[in-house]
Amino acid sequence: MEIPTEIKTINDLIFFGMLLMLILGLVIVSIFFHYQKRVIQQQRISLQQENEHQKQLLRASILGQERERNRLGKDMHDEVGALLTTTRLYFEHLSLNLDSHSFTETKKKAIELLDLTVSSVRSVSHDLRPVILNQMGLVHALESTIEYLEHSKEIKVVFDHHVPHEIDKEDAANWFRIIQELLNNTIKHAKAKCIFMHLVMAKNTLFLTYRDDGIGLGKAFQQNRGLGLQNIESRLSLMNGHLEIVSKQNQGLEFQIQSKLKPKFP
Amino acid sequence: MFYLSPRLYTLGKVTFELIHFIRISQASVCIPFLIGWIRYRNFPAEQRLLHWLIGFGTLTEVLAIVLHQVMQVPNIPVYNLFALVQIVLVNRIYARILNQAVWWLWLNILLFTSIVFFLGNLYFAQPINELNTHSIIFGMVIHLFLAARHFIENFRDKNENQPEVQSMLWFSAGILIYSCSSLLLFLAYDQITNHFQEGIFTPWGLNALMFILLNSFYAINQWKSLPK
Repeated sequence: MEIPTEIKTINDLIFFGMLLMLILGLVIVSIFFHYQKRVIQQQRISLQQENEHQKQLLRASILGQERERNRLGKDMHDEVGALLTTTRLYFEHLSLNLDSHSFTETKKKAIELLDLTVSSVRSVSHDLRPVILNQMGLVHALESTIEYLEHSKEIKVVFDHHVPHEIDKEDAANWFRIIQELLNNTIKHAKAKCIFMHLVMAKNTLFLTYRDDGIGLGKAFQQNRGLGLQNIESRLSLMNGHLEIVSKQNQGLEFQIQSKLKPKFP
Repeated sequence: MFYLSPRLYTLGKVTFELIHFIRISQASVCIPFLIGWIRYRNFPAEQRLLHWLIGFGTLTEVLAIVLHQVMQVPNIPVYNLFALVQIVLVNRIYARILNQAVWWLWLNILLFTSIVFFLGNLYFAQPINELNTHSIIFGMVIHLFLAARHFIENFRDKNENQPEVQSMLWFSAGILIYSCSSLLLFLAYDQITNHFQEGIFTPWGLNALMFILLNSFYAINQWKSLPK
């Protein structure tokens, strides 16, 4: 029986319609597979980069600790060790055969040396853990450090703060070290005359604006961050904090740092 | 000429017709079935359900050939019953692979609705010896939706495994492509066959090709194990 023309036409239409839908289906599935592969690849690269960054921070933290230990060891050896050795010599020299004047002089010098030793040990211990940080809190510890800095170095520090209550000891220690690092970097590298610090606590977050009028960061330094900055980043990563650097050549350096604070338990 | 007994003659005719493309398409369902048979022990629940679906598909094709070629009776009821089995098993597969917290209730409602629709269509509209295109179309639309949903969820969940490794994505890809392309055929089937019984022949050839494609995707699914 002859198939009517219209049936043949509908037949062809259905055939090409099905073919079109088949191609469409294949294209959709291919696009999905391809796109998903790319997304997964990008996620893996991102994860690798993050792991690499974390390793770098850890390396910087370890190197920082080693550097600090070396410095303390050197201070202990060069200052405390030398003073105690000299004091020992003076005590050996003290004998009942000495005349009264010599005995008094030797004893006086030995006591002076012991005072210097005590002062040196106090200084080393202050570096390890400032007592004032535990007893009086972050703001007082910073004020004490700034006071010492202004006396010993030719630099002015303006410290403006609004921290209405004490923060957790661990956070306080991290923030103290961060600010200490910033101050040390300015003194060593920036050739600055003035430092401005603005510390504010708001909505359980601590915000710091740190600015100096020094020479700023060089381009090479901005690309490969130094050990000090890596240590700061490492401490901030522990506190889920954030660091932003604004620097212009010979126009000073500004840091914007913030971190959420842990609740302080009595 | 040798005289061949009727049974031998039928067997010869059947064997000859195996070379026919439609038969190749029907036979293609054996490949994923055999692969699944070998690897069944290692399958998680969703792949086992798919293996059962392929198993029913194989049984359907065998019965269809036997009924049509050997017993010379219509084989449409077998395909209609398979349509119901497919609706149920695909629903259960997606109940396991989609977000259960979100989809568990909706899939159960969908299953109940599908079964009621199938039985209602069987009783009121299309009897068992007529191809239940309404139920098949209903099932295909649901399968299209569920397969698309699976792709979206997979993309949104940012699965860490490459898509080629995920066996159930191959299942959804096969369902999506087959349903996409065959829907038009079944939509037009009634209109044409009401006027002219032998109307649709070329599209059935294309449908046979897509059935082979579907079985290829099933075979890949059965071959791949789910990532740990």
